[in-house]
Amino acid sequence: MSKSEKKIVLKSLDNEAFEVEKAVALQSQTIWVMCEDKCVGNEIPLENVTGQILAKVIDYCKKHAVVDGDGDESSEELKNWDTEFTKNMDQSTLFNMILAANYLNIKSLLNLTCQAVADKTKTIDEFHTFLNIENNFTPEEEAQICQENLWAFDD
Amino acid sequence: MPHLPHELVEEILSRVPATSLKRLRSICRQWKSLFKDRRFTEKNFRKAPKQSLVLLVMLMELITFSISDSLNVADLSSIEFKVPFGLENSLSNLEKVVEVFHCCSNPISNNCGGLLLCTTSLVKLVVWNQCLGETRWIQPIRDYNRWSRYSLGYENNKSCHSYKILSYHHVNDNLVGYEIYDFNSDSWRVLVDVVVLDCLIEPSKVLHRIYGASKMDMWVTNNIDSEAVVWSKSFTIDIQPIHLENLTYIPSSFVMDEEKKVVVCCNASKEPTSVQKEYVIEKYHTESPFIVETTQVSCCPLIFSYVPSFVRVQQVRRKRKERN
Repeated sequence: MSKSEKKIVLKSLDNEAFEVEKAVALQSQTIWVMCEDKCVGNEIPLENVTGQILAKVIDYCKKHAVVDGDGDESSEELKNWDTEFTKNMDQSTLFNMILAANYLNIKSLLNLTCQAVADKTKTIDEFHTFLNIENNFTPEEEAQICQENLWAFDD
Repeated sequence: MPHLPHELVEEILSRVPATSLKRLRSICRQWKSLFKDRRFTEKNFRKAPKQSLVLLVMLMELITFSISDSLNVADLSSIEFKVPFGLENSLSNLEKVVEVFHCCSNPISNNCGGLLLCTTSLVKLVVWNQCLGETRWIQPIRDYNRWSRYSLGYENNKSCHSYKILSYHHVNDNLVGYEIYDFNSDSWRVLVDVVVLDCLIEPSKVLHRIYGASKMDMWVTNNIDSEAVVWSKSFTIDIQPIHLENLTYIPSSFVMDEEKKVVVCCNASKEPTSVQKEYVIEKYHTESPFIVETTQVSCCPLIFSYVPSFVRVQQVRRKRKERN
């Protein structure tokens, strides 16, 4: 493999270009399939991801890539890095990260970001707001659910 | 806020621990039915962080226990044994848990996590998902006596996990009378041939004592999923002098907190001067100063950790086809 083939350019929705090592980008199954198909050149357009989010995704992939001896970080260290990575993201960024991880098909990132939302969302109200869910129960049904919840003890 | 498609919302929900998830049933119809979907509950059991509770069965009470609690029995709060409405059993006020035989809280057993198999004061067997409040009452094949033993498992059949209960009892130190109850057919049959059941106890922590030794070692593994299980010694406790005479003494049940280095053991101990058995709960604090708190109770206590889950209790199969 020649030097130039080791690099790949990812282009975001808002036309931001990122040059990254192929090994970094190929953690995305979507990009991997695109490269396999050889239907794209060295530049891959990603129509669903903004530059701001793509930069974060690339950070994640760089950290998790196994490139020429760079991949010898302990799993403990990686775990801590992951925790820090999502710690200060707001809900909106996290959702965009989930969408990007899903579109790019990066399983570990999808897992990380979904878990982060699950951990951060605590109250029923937060679930309502963040996930944009409407309560469609009748008052009778709601009363019944309250009864049902009584069986299970509180934590 | 970006809108997430349904399957991604489900990905998030499958990572919410069962104890929190139960409150979310009241959010909308779709979620309520999602939480009943077996595919979802099994995924949730695999992916959500495990929040385990320590339960103590004592004097017909089921008690939630925190390892940092004092051992003063009066301070502990018991869980009322609540029977879901609409079931034929209206005697719920009288029902008390007598024994817990099986607690599926094993991370590798996706399919019966969160289920308790108990006998109650009215001599019935009950399989109970304590988090969901779901129960299934089962008439034991014979009258309960103190030598009866039960174990919950399921047949290792990929297409459908059919729960079974194995019943047996002791006669003169021999195990006899193997019978098996099938959840599908709602019937008992006497076992003649050998059946392999996945009966799992929590195998990630082990208490080990060399014959006659004055210390016990705590061994733990975090990796029971893999084939090559690696055990490591976590810490050591000194056995109470009262038990030392019994060279094979080991607690009948225990829970431990690896971080705080605390072990709570339940045992029967026999005073050398007395023929009567005494039951004690002992709490070993192993970080210095080494302290042991002891409480005597009047009947055999059992302590175990329990991981609440949304795994449903298999009910009698109805004639109509189940929804996929």
